[in-house]
Amino acid sequence: MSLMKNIKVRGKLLFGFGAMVVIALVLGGLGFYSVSRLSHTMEEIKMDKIPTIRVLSDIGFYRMAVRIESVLVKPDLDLRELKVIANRRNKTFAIIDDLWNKMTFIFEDYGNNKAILDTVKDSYRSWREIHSKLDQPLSAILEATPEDRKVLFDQYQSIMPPMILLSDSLGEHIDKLASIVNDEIDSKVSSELMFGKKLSLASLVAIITGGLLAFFLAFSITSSVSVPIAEGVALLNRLRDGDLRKDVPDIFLQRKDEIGELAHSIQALTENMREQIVAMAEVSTSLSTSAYQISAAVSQVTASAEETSAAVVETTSTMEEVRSTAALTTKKSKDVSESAKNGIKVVQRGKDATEKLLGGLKKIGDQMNSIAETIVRLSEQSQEIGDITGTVEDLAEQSNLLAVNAAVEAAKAGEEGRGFSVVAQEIKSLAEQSKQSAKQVQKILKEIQKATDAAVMATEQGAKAVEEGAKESAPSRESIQDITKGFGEMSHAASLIENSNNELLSGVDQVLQAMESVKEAGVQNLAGMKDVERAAKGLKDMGQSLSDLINRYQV
Amino acid sequence: MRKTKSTILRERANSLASKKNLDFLGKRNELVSFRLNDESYAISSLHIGEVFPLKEITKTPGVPGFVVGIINLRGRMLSVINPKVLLNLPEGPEERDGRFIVTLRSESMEFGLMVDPPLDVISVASLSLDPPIPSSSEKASYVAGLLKDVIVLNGSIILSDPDLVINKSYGN
Repeated sequence: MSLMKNIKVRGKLLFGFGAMVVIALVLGGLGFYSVSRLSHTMEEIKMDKIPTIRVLSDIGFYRMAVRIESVLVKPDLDLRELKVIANRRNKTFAIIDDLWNKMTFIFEDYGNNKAILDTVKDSYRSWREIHSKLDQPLSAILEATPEDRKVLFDQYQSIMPPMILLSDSLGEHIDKLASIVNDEIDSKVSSELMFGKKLSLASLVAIITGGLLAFFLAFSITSSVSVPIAEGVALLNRLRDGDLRKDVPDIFLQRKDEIGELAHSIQALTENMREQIVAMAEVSTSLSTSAYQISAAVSQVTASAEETSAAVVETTSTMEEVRSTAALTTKKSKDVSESAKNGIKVVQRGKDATEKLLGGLKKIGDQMNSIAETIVRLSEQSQEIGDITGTVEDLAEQSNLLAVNAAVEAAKAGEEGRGFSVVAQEIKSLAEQSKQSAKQVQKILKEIQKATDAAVMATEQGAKAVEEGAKESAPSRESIQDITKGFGEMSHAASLIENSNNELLSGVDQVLQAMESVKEAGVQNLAGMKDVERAAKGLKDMGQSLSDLINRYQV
Repeated sequence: MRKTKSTILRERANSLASKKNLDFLGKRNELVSFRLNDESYAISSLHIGEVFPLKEITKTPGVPGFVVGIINLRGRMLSVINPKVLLNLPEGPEERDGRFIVTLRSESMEFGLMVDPPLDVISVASLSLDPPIPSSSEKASYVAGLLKDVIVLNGSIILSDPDLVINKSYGN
């Protein structure tokens, strides 16, 4: 049976069909042999035995004819009738001689029946001799005179009885020979019949055996081909349904024929699919991990964006405070200016007002101090804003770093991370924008600082002028003129302060505007993050669907 | 007016993030760039693990000059290498923003490179490099080529350099 498995299918089929052909040849050979043997026997009977029988019966027939013709010779017949009989008798003898010559080949065939042949030959010879004896008186009768005829007839009649005896014995012997020939034909025919029966039995046995053998061969070859194919189809159906757990049975793998090759191919296919599914599962896992990391990065970026937004709000409210302080300063500057004008009027009214003036001067000095204090506070608040923008810059720097990391992660995610990498680029540019805005704010703050310094200086100048005015408040015309001059300077300083404040206000407006743009950048940042989150979700879904796909297979 | 501008920017962000518009971008090569003193350098992002500012580093005794020390990266110990020592560059003054770590990562190797800011991502369509300036240095193979004025380092060669592997028995 193992031999059966190792022969190629082609070899099996060739062997099966070859066996059928051999069986057919054996059966056909048997039939051909029996038919040719029968026909040979028939031919022998037709060409040999039947002519023999015929010659023998002819001899018998003409023997009787000669006997009748001999008996017909009677004295009461006239000469003409006798001549006719004699002629006919001679012709009959000629036929008999001719037939006897044909007998020679019979004698050759039946050499083993020498005794019978000899008796036939002897009796024929004696029969021929006695007829020769009859010929002499008969021919004499035809020539003789009527007186002599009577004697000759008597002589003829005396030979008749022995002739009849010899004729009978010849007939008997020829019949015997004929019966031998007949027996021979009978025996031949019956032996052929016997052979025919045996042969048909043998043919029947051969047909049954051959049929069984052919059926067995056909069954075993077909089953050795069709059973593994059915098994293979079942395996492939399982593969189609995603069940990769079953291997091809060893019994098929060990076969060395085409079925074995097919089994190896199916096994290789199964193993390949298994490996691929395992590899795909790994890819799906790493995809999920990447998606998770991206989500984590996104939430970090979102948190820092929220911090930025809070810082911006804080900056804005501080700026509002600065603005209100500046407004107060302006108002106070205007008051100073007004007071100075009033002072000048008072001085011009005269000496008496000097005391009052001094009092007014003191008041002005106090106000100056208050302005200086306010401006110093303003300077401190500007410093605070500087700190906050520093924080904004730091946050922007961190966002930039996160964006770089996000781009690196996106590159690892490959083709699917490409969208994310574009978004990371956008986040990076937004971080850059935030940084630029913060820098702008810092630049503006420097200008504010400058303006504040100028305001402080102007305040100091004003204070000095007030002091000098107080010193020179002697009730002389010159000193009053000096005081007037001092008031003029003071008024000038107040207007300088006002100008500085206006500059400061415009600076504050610029800061507020910058803050607005930082806020806007933050909002965009958040929107971008939402998109990234969506992209990460898509990545996660993709990982899930890939994993679902893989789960359809059972490895 | 301001509202409109914000809407336009939002739409642009949406369209860039949506998948259908990605095809026109083609395949991009991304490089992470950094500075060593006044020169710009870059490494393909395929070899980069992550980047982060250097905060705390533990100096390790008995290691070659190019090893700065070890850091704690989320519970993992990571050795930090100074590329300036490897590339025979002078140790410049520290920047205002401090120093940064770029981790190089392969299946068998991971370590940090200590670099100067600013860090950035360069995205180019084709990675055709100009040949590097010929050098007799034994570490010349670290330089893959020039991308305009950026020196591109070969991350896979640095990662696979056996000279950078410190034998376990070395420190004992």
